Amino acid sequence: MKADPKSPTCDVLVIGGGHAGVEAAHAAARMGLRTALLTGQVESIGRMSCNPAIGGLAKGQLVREIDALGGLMGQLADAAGIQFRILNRSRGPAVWGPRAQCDRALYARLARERLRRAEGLTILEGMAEALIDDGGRVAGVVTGEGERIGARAVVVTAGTFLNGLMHTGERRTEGGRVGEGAARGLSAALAAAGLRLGRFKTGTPPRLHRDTIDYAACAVQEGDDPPVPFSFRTTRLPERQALCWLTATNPRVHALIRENLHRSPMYSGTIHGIGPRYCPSVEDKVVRFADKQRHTLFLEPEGWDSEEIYVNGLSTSLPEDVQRAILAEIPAVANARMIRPGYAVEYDFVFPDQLALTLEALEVPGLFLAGQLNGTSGYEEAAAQGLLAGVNAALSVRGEAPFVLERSEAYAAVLVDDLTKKGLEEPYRLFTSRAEYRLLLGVDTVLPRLLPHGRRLGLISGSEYSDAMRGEERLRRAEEALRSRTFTPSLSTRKAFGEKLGFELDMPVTAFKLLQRKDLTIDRLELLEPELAIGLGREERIILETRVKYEGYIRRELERLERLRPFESRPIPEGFRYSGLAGLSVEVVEQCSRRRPRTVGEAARIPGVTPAAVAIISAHVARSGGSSFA
Amino acid sequence: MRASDSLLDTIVALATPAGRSALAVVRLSGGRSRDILAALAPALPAPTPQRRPVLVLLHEGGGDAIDQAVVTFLPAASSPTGEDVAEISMHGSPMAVERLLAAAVEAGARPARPGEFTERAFRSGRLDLVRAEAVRELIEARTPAAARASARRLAGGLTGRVELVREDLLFASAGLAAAIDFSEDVGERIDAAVPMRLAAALAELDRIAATAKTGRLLAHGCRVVILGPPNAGKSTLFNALLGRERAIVTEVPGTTRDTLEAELDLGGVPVTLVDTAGLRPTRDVVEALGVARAREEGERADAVLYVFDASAGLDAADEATLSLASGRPRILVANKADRAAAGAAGLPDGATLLCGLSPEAGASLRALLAETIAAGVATDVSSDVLGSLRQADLVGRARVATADALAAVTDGTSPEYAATHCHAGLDALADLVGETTSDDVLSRLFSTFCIGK
Repeated sequence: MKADPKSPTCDVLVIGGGHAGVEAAHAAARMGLRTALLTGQVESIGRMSCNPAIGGLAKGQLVREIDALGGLMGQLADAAGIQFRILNRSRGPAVWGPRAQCDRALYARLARERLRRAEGLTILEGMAEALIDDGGRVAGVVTGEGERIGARAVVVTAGTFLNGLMHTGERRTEGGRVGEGAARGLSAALAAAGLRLGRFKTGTPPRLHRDTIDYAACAVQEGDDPPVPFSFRTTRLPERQALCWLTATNPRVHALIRENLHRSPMYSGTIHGIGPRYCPSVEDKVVRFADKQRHTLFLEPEGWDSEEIYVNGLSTSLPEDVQRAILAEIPAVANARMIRPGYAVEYDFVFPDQLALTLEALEVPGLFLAGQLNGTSGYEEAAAQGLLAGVNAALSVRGEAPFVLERSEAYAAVLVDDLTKKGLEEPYRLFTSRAEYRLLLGVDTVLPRLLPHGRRLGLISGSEYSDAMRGEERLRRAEEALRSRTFTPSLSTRKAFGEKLGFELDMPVTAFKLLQRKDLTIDRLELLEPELAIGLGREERIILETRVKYEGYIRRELERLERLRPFESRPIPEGFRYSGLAGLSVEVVEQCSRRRPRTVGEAARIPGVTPAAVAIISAHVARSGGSSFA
Repeated sequence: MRASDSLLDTIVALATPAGRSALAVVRLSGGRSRDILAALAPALPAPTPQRRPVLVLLHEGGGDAIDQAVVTFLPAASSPTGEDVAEISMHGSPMAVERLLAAAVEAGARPARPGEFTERAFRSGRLDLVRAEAVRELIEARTPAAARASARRLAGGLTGRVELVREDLLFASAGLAAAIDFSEDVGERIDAAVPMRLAAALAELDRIAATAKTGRLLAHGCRVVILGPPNAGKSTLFNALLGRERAIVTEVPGTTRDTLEAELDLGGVPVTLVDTAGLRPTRDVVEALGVARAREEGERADAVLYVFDASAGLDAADEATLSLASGRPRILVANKADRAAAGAAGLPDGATLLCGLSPEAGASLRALLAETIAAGVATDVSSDVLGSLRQADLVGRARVATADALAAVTDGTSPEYAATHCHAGLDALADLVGETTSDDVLSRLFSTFCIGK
C-alpha cells in the first residue's frame, strides 16, 4: 500500500484487535467509512487475555450500554456464553450487574467472523511502528515492514502491548500477552508526538487442568435460570449452562506468600508499574488485608471444549514453584495440574488527561486512543472506549459534530469523563459509585437512554430500534394501566381483598398505589386482577414493580439532576482565559488551560480544582455573558 | 450589579463610617492594588513593603497632596480577600476621603459593590459561606450575646461541626456503595458502622437545628408591643421595662399619641419595645391616627404586653384588640391591682397583677418577658448557634435526608436507594458552606452587606 496524505488508504485506521479495537473498527465501518484494522495477529482478534467472563458489577451495565449503542460485545458474550448470572440480583435493577462466563475460543472466533463480514472493513496483519505526521496531524502509520498506511483518523487500541513485559517470578519475557511480542516502536512514536506515558501492571492467575480438580471440596455456583442475555437483540441463549466452583485461600497459603514476597517482582522492586487496587494480585491481597483469613477463589471454565480452568482471585507474579506450593495448600486444587502459571504484565499507558471527551488527543489531531492503553482495566471499559473512539473518529472524518454523552446519561460517559478529567494513579475500573445518578443508570433504563443515540449514529437499524422500543412501550402501557385501575370498596372487592390479600379495603385506591405497599407484588395483585401485567416478561415485571415502588426515589434523583444542572452544565466558552483570574492557583490555571473543560461541572472534577476555584470560574463565565444562567 | 462589573476588577471603598472622625480606612483589593497604591503614594519605596505599615503622603494623579496616611500592603497570600490588598489609614476627613477615592478610581480602581470584599474572600476560599455570612451578622449584632454568637460562627465553630457531619454522611455513602460495588468480595451486608455514623450525624444535626430559633432571636430580635386602653399604665410600664423615663407619663388619658420605640437587651435577645396610644374611639384626628398605628403595631408584633386596669377587668373591646395579636405570645398585665377588690371578677387566669411599677416590678416583668419571648429556647450562646434563615433551612433539609437515610438502612431498603438520601444530605451541606450555592443566592446574600465590607 502506498501512502499519500491526499488519497489515504482508508478513512479510519484502527491499531489493535482487542475489545477496544473490535468495537472501534466495527462502529467506524458500520457508519459507512472505509476502515482498516491493523493487528499483530489476526487470530488474536477479540481475545480475552485475562478472565473468561464479560460483565459484572457496573461492567455489566456498561455492556448493555455498548449494546444499545450498536456495539458488539453484548451479542458476542451472549453467543459465546456458557453461564449467565445477574450479580446484585437481590437489589433493585438500577444496580444489577449482568455477567456471563464465556467460551474464550468461541468468543474470539465470533468476533473475528463479525469483523470479517463487516462491510467496508479491511483486516491487515502487522505492527504499527511509527505515526505518519502530516503538518501536525496524524495521517496514518508505518508498519514494522516499512509499509505506510495512510488514514484520515487513527484509533490506537494497543492494550498492554506498548513495551509489554511479562513476569513470572524472576523470569521476564517481552510481550503483551503469552505467545505474542511487544510493541516497542509505537510507544516511542506516541511519546515523540508529545504524549506523556506511564507504566501500569496487571496480572493473571494460573490455569489448571479441569480433570485434576477435586470438585467435592468446592461449593458450586450455578447460572441463573432462566438466563438473561446482555443484548436486546439476542432472542435465544444456549440452553445448557456450565458450573463454576468456589474455594478459598487459607492462612497456610498466606504464610507461604509472605515468605516468598521477595521473589514476587511486584515486591522485589522489579516491576515499577502500579497495579489495580480493585483487581489485586493475591500477593497484594495478603499484604493489604493482613487480618483476613481467607480470600474467595472462583474456578471458572474457559469453555465447553477447553481443558483450562481459570483460578479467578489468584492473580500472581510469584515464581512457578511458589505457585505450585500455594496450590498444594488448597484442598480443592492440591493435586491439580497447572497448565500455565500466572504472570504479571507491565506495560506503558498514556495519561488519558491528554485526551478530549471524544478520546482524540488534545494536542495531536487525528489521533484517537482507546482501551487499556488509556490506563483502564477490564474488557468492558476497553470496549466502551473503543466504540466511542471509533464513532468520534468517523464523525471527525465526516466533519460532523462529536458524539459526547453526559454523566447522567451513561456509565460510558462517566468512564470517559473521569479518565480525561481526573488524574490516574492506578488502573481505572468502573464502579456504580463513580456515577452521581446511580438510579438513572440502571440496566432497566439503558434502552430509552441510549438506543435513540445508536439509531441516530446509524449503528442501530430501524427495525432493531422499533423492536426494542416496543418493549419500552409495553412497560409504559402497563404502568398506565396500573394508574388507571381503581379498586372501590364494594362488597365484592372488600371480600376479595380480605380473602386474597389479607387486608381490608376501606377507600378507593389505584393498583399503582397498592403496588407501592411493601407487602404487595404484581404477582399477588394478579390474584385480584389476572390481566394486570399481561404480556410482560419476568424481567419486565420486576422493572415495572421497581418503577412503581421507588417512584419517589427516581423522581427525587431527577429533581437533583435538574437542581445541579445549572451548575454542572454552565458552559465555559472555548478559549476562556484562566490566567488572569484572581484567586486561581498556578496549578488550577495550568490544569484547566490544558484540559479545556467545556462546563463548570467538568472543571470541578479536575484534580486540584478546589470548590473555591470552581466558584471563581463559575462567577466569571456567568459574568462574561457566555451563558444564559445569571 | 452592573453588567461590566467583574471579579477581575480592583475595587476600592471606604471601610469606616462616612463623616468626620479621627481616622478613616480606605481599602483596595484586586490584582492592581499594588500599582494603584504606588500611583497614590509615589514616595512609597519600591519594592512595595509588605505586611508592614508605612507612613506616606498621598497624592492626586496631578500631584496635589491629599493627606498623610499609614498604608499597609498585604499580598494575596496573606490578605483577607485572597487578592492583593492595600489598606490606607488616613485622617477622617470626608473631603480627603472623597479625593482619595476619586484618585483611586482615576488610577484604575472601581468602587466596590456592597459586600464585595467579603464576597471575594469567599470566592477565593478564605471564608466558607457560613463564615462569610457571620461577617455581616457580627457587624449587625445588637446585643453582646448576638455578637458572641456571630463571632463563634466567624471563627468557624459551626462550619467545623458541619464538616464532621459531612464526613459521617460520606462514610455512610461509601459504606452503601461498598455493599453494591463489592458485593462479590465483601458480601451484600451493609457495614454496621453505617447506621451508627448516620445516627451520630442525625443527633448532631438535631442539636444544630435546635439552635435555629435562638439564632433567629439573636439576629432578628423581637418586637414587643405594649397595647391597652387609655390610662391603663402602658407608658409607665414602658419606662419601667427600660429602667428610665423615656415616655411622658401623666394622669391624663390619651397622653401618648404616637408610637414610641426603644431598644432593650433581654437575656441576649435584642428587643424593640413599642409604646402605643391607648385604644379608644376618638374624634381627635391626631389621636385617631395614633390609635390606627397602635393597631398596626399590634398586628406586626412578635409579642404583646396587654395592659389594663385591674379594677375594670377585660371587656369585649379588650378581647377584640387582643385578637389582633392572636397566635403570638402575649402577657396580660392587670395594673393598679391594689385598687381592685380582692378576687375581682373579670380578671383572666394567668394575668400578671401589678400595683405600681417599682424598679423591682420592672425587673421581674423583664424576666417574665424574656422567658415568654424565648419560650423555652436557651439564649445563652455557650455553644454554636445557627445564623441566617438560609442556614436553618439547609440544616433542616440535611436533617430530614439523614433521618430518611437512617430509616432506609434500618428497614432494609436496598442500598442504592438509601444512598440517595445520603446524597441529598451532602448536597444540602455543600450548599450550606457555599460549595454549590447558586449565583442568584450568592449575589442576593452579599448585596445585603454594607459597602466596604
